[in-house]
Amino acid sequence: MKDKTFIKALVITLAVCIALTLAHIGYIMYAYKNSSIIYFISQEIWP
Amino acid sequence: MKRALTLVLIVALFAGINFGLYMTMTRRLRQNFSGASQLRMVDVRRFLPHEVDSDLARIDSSLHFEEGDDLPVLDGAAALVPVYASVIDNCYPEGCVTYEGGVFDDDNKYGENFAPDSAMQYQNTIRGFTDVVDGSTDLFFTAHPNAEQMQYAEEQGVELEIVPIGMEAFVFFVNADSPVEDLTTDQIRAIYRNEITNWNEVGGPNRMINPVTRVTGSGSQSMMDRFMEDNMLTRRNPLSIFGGSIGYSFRYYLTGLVGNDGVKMLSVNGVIPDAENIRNGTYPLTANFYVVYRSDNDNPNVTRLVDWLLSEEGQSMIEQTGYVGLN
Repeated sequence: MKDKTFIKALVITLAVCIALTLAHIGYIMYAYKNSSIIYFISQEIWP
Repeated sequence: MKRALTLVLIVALFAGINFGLYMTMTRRLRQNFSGASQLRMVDVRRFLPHEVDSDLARIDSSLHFEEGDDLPVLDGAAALVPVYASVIDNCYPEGCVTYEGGVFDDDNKYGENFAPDSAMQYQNTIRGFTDVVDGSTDLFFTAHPNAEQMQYAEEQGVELEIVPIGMEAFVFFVNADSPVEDLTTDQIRAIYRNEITNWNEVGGPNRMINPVTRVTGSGSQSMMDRFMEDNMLTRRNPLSIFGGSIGYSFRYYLTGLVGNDGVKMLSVNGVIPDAENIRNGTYPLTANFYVVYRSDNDNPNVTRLVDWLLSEEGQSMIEQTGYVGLN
């Protein structure tokens, strides 16, 4: 892989991964604020 | 080859992060993402009056309204739907309730619809209280109104009668697999004031505490504000969301209406919140629930119904719904 191609692929990969992760976190923040606390607590994982 | 591997590793790293978020958070929220879901928890169809299969307390009532009487319109908190639906079932004529069903969405926040002329309504605490002040509801079944609600009534120049009709326990709950079984009232207050932040400070494992709160204006949040003497945490460590949670509700709502086996109630000061301990006063966090109506309501059937609720028959009906009567 040429340097230029690699850097381009790296930037695109990082951008897509970060965007998807931020969207996921945004969804969690929205959903948590409005969720049923009973259901939320019932699904907690305890070892 | 190395460069391709780098890209794969980056993708794998983010996939791992998102999988971790899914397991700890998203999975627990997936049924509850609508803007109204926190108030949705009661399926009113289970409690429709005069339906054979309804889950209501049926007694041999001596109070019977007739068709054509000025029937008081009843509404109440979600947790008290079985109580006021049972009142209608026992005392009102058939045909006075018109349930139109409803699809749960952001425009119909409760997923339930009763016709405007129905004697039974279901708008829950926040909207329903406004309606009793405004006069479109005659009797409202609820926990004690909070300061904001009382102020609203005062601003409207409305004097309210707030009559206790039964007792309920305010309970704290955790995941069913949590090893913690008991907290003292001081420990609970310290948790919700950020003074205790790890379960190992109260006899549990080394894990952050996630103290979950409710929506302002809900019955349970009003009760919590009184319990905390209006001194409750406003900010907390954002990472505590990944910790072991503690929440609060009313006993009957948690065990009778929602009935989720994935959570368990904690005993408080060593006392379990069962009917016996509520009745004899050993459980420390009991509260009355009330029926609220306007003092200037001139429908004589309103006071007849309140008197009946306080009678032996009415109290027996309340006990049969799963709540605890006053005596």
